[in-house]
Amino acid sequence: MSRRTTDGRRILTAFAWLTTKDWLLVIDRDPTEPATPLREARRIELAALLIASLLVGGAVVFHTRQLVARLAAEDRSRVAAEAQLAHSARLVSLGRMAAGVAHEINNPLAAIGELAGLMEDLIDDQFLASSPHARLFQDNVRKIQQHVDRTRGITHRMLGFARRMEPHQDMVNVNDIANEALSFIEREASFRQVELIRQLDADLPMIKSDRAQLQQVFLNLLNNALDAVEDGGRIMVTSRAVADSVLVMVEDDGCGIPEELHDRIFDPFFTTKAPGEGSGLGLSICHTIMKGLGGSLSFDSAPGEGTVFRVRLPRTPV
Amino acid sequence: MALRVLVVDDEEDFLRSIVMRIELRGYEAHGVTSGDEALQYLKENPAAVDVVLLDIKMPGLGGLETLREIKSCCPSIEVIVVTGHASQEFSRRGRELGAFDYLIKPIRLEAILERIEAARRHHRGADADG
Repeated sequence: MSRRTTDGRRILTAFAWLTTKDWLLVIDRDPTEPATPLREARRIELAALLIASLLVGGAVVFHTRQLVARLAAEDRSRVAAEAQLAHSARLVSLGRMAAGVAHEINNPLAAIGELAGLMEDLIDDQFLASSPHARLFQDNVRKIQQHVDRTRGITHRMLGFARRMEPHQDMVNVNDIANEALSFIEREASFRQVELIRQLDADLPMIKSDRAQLQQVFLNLLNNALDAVEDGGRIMVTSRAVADSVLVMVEDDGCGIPEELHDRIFDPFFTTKAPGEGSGLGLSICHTIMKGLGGSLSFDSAPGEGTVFRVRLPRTPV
Repeated sequence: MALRVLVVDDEEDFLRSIVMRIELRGYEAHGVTSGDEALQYLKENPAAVDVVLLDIKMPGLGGLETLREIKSCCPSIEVIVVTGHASQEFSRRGRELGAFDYLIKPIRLEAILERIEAARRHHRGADADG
């Protein structure tokens, strides 16, 4: 039965007569008492569930983030590899086209050179005295040959470029490759009064490497340097042998790279150039190439002071 | 005796000019415009040539086939390939077939004459050794 105590609490009371004795057994129980441990148990259960959920949730978030980061890194590597592949394919096509053009030009150019050479051979004193324009004629014939020589330089360079597009490991002189790359930017540097300084170690050891890929790396770094410097600026290319490597540094006194961008500079499609002026693949490809060649590409830069890129190649003595 | 040079090239302006210029420098020179003509000339004048300047890309018998035939019929003749076709593969095959040198057009006549003289020295050295 239910009854109330003098202080107004409701209690449950049960009673029964004892059969052996003339006693009445009365048991009072607070109806709220049995529920307290249950609630406690429920609270503990809820807390345990919550903690477990948080742990599981945290683990899921942690692993998901790791997975996403790994997928993103793999994606970046894939994009870089695909870009490298596409770039290489374009270079091979370009090389074939360059070779085709050079071959087609070389033959008529040779004919022009020989025809002009023959004209010069046939010019004698009698001919020079025969006309007031004879001297001009002689000068022009010589100039034609000089222009043939100049064009020959271009076609031979195109053919060299075409030949070097196929992946090929050979003993190379890194200074020669740096000089070749410099020759590609000399003209623009001269227009913009940018000083090109060479500090190439004449005793640099030959190393086994891919000439075309190295030229691509140097050319890319030099083009970037040229983009970074103001007119009248300075680009310095230094080479030297260090313990087990050959080190080439391309240094400019240009605008530098802001520190917050240092971590992203080798990411594919990252560029600080205006839209349409840079694919954002150059340094990424250079980085990939250098890793492929067993070397490394690193840099130091201070905004407003300039940047130095370091190409480190494993040394293989002849 | 003046060195005798046979020039084989299908580009007639080049051929005529270089033959005249070689002659102006005291050599004997003869020009033909194909590999077939070159072999015919050598067949008819077996002892009339010391050095052949040979183009590679020619209609009819190509330069490398002509080179093989020349080296087969007249091994003592030195052959210098002078071509606008700068292929490493052709250069390698040319040397394998016995070409003395492989020069890329356009090239100054003085450079060609220098190689002709080198071929002559090489030929004399080979004769002396033989």
